[in-house]
Amino acid sequence: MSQSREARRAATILVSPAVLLLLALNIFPIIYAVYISLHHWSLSSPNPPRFAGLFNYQELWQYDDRFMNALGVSAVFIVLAVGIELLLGFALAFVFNAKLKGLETLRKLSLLPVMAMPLVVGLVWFYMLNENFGVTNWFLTLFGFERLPFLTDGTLAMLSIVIADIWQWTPFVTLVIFAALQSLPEYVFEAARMDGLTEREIFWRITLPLLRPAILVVCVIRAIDAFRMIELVFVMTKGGPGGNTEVLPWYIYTKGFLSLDLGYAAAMAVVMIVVVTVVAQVFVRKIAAPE
Amino acid sequence: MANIQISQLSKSFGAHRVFDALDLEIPDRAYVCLLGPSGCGKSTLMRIISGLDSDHTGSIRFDGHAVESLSSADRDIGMAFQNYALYPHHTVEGNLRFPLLAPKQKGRWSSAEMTKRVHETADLLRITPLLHRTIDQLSGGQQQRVSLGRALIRHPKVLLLDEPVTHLDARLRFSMRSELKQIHKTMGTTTIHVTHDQQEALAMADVLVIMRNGRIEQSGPGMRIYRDPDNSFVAGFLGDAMRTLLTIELAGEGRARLDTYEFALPDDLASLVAQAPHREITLALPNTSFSIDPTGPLTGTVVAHEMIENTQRIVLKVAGQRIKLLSNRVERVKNGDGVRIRVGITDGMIFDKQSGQRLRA
Amino acid sequence: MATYSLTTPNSIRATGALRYLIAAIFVGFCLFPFYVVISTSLKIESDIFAWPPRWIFRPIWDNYEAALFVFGGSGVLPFLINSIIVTCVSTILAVGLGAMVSYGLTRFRVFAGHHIFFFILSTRFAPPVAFVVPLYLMLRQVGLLDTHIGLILIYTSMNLSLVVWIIRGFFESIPIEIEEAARIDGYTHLQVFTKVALPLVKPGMITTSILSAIMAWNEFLIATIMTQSNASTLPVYLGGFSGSMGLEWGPYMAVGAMAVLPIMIFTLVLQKHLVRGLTFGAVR
Repeated sequence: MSQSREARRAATILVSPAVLLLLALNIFPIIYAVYISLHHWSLSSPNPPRFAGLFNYQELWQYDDRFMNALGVSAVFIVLAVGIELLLGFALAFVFNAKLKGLETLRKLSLLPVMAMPLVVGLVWFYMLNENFGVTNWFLTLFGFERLPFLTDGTLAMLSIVIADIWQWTPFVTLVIFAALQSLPEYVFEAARMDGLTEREIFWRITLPLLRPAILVVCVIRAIDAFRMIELVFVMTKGGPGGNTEVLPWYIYTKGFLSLDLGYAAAMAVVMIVVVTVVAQVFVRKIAAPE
Repeated sequence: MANIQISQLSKSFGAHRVFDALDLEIPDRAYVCLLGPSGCGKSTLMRIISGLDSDHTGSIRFDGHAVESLSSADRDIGMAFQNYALYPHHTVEGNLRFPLLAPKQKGRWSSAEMTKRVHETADLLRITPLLHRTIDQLSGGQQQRVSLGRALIRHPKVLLLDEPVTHLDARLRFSMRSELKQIHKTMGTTTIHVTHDQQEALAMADVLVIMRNGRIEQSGPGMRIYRDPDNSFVAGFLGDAMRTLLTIELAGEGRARLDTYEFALPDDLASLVAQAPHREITLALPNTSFSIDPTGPLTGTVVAHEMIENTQRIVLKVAGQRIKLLSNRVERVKNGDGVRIRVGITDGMIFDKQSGQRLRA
Repeated sequence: MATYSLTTPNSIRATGALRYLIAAIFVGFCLFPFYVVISTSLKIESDIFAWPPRWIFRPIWDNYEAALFVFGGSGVLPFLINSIIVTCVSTILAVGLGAMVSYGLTRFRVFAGHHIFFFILSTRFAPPVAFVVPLYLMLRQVGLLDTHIGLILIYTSMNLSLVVWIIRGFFESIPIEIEEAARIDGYTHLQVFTKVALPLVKPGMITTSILSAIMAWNEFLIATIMTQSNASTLPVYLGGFSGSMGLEWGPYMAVGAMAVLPIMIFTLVLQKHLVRGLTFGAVR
């Protein structure tokens, strides 16, 4: 089918502004980032950028322990945060999944952290986790534990940003799985019970498989978002102590805008874009909007 | 008001050819029904006339002016949709006024004239009390009137009705038909009405156009087509409730065979079979030609039976073919019964079995 | 299916109580930090650093006054105004352009339309930190560093994916005949879009507006790199905190409260559309 000239004109007018904007601010920056990454490009040096070939990438893979450390820290953060959020969210979805008075209101209230400004989240947890006057330690002492140096100990610092992330995102995971749980058709369970399945069998053989798509969706979204996270580190730990919370975004940020080595930062940005793009393409085409 | 000339119209959906060089002429002020089974192309034809479907070759003229390059907005047509397609964000009055407010119509009517139009149209369709309602407060019948009003308010050259009464219940459908005819009489707009309902088409059309597989099988005044179909498809489709079509085999010398029953064709038909290109022909008979008679020559099985007012309708299976029998007598039969049937061949028509073409004198 | 694991009345009551208990603890955990933000913003300095924490204290408004007009030289007011400008304009642009492109892609056949659609959706995952390097040089080149326009353009492109996804569903649910009727009634395709389609997707427009506004309001990284002072937004102000190593908790918490409280209200209102908006509709 061909369209009339008027239809083609309308389509062009409707589609092109957004496409142009995305070309300028999404596609071009990717190409430009590749270009920058192939240069020695420093904002602090008076010399103009110099072509460097694959030097930055080589440096990255072969010599830069901080980069490898950042990849590892990011991986640990993603696995810990998303893993705990999934477990908690899954369990809480079942807790909320009952027609009981007031439960609905509680569920709605629990959603408040999701949209809170990440920087404020970092700020308030920074305050609450303070070793000397933080309320978290007050709770610990209440139950007879010692005060903990949450933000200055290497392992505990990672735990701190994980806690803040869990606080913000567990309600979201809960909501998604809860919504999926609610959309399961009642008759499937009635049929299963009629067939004599025990409640345990129903859970493993019916509920869980039916929830799988929702769990997959929330898992991918959360993993990519956790990979992008920088605000909590920015406010709470600045990557420290000793690089223990230096996630990849933070390392890129310090390289590019504190050390002003844009060429090197761009090389890491390209790596990050490639990883995220692969995952996102698979997600968008296969999971979010399958044909 | 306009006559419509469609010539050499061709259209494909991918590899599927919908129309191949179709010609159709619709006289000015006519009420035309496009009738055919679903998938015959009648809705596509209407969409092409409306300009909603612009991908085709061939020409379409309103009063001699080519419109195929015009968008729907410029063709000066009104259209009522099967699902009414009213604007849910406007009141009834807003819906009626919407076509008048189109930027293309700017300056054509003063606002006083628009208001006058709205009230005239509302009066014509008897929806004046509903003018300030929102769409979700209307019944199906009321929505249908509003959609007709919206289609008519600009007094368009051509009015297109896509299954306009299909969603109404039987009683309302019946009264709406005569009202539509009355409105057509008042306004005189050339009207094209797409339907799959034979009764409706026969009752309403000045010109009936019967379509199948993207071809026009026959067109003309409804009752003439009904009485004098050009081919076996039209005979069967239009006369479904009143006519039975049987495949018979010519046995030579004006005789024919149905299953094991060999019989002489009446003289009028016998003279026609001489020109039959094949031995197999289709014989169309009024359903009243058959009767149940223990001495009848044919054996059949009762497939279905029902009473319609004073008439009994029995569907029988005879040698793999269906006979629809209409009887004024009440026969005591039940499904599965074997019965004997007598055939009286009067008012028969014959068609070549292979091409479906009517054999005429 | 809500109660499929509950068989006897007794166990309903028992698990019911357990549900309430767990839910209440969880909600307490979720709300507590908000309480900390607000209460700290109302405390005097000695209460803020008190050990053990003071649960009962005399609330004061001084921190808000200091935050608004005094702190950091000019106070937070200019940042607040920048935030409002950038949020409003970028939201209007994102929702406008997003509605246009999703209508264009749903109702017309556009060259590579499918790919454009998927590309727009996948930008939802673009890591800001990776784009910040080239974007910084680009803005510097065209003189848009530290301007509202620079931030607005970036936020608009960032929020397109969200808008396109949500609004597309709304457009698809309009019966095509309604738009065809308008075509017959004498409206061009673009007029059908503005006069029929857009009014019919108003609920979707409101939802997406709120969601993209929140995203723009909350964004920190791009704002802190692309602005120095003229166009700096609230998060940038808050990001400055760590630099001063934390003796001004009161005013900062006051700003935090101002940044978070309006969003809390929207979150409660949005509820229904939140899941769909945040998960690409993969979960309804």
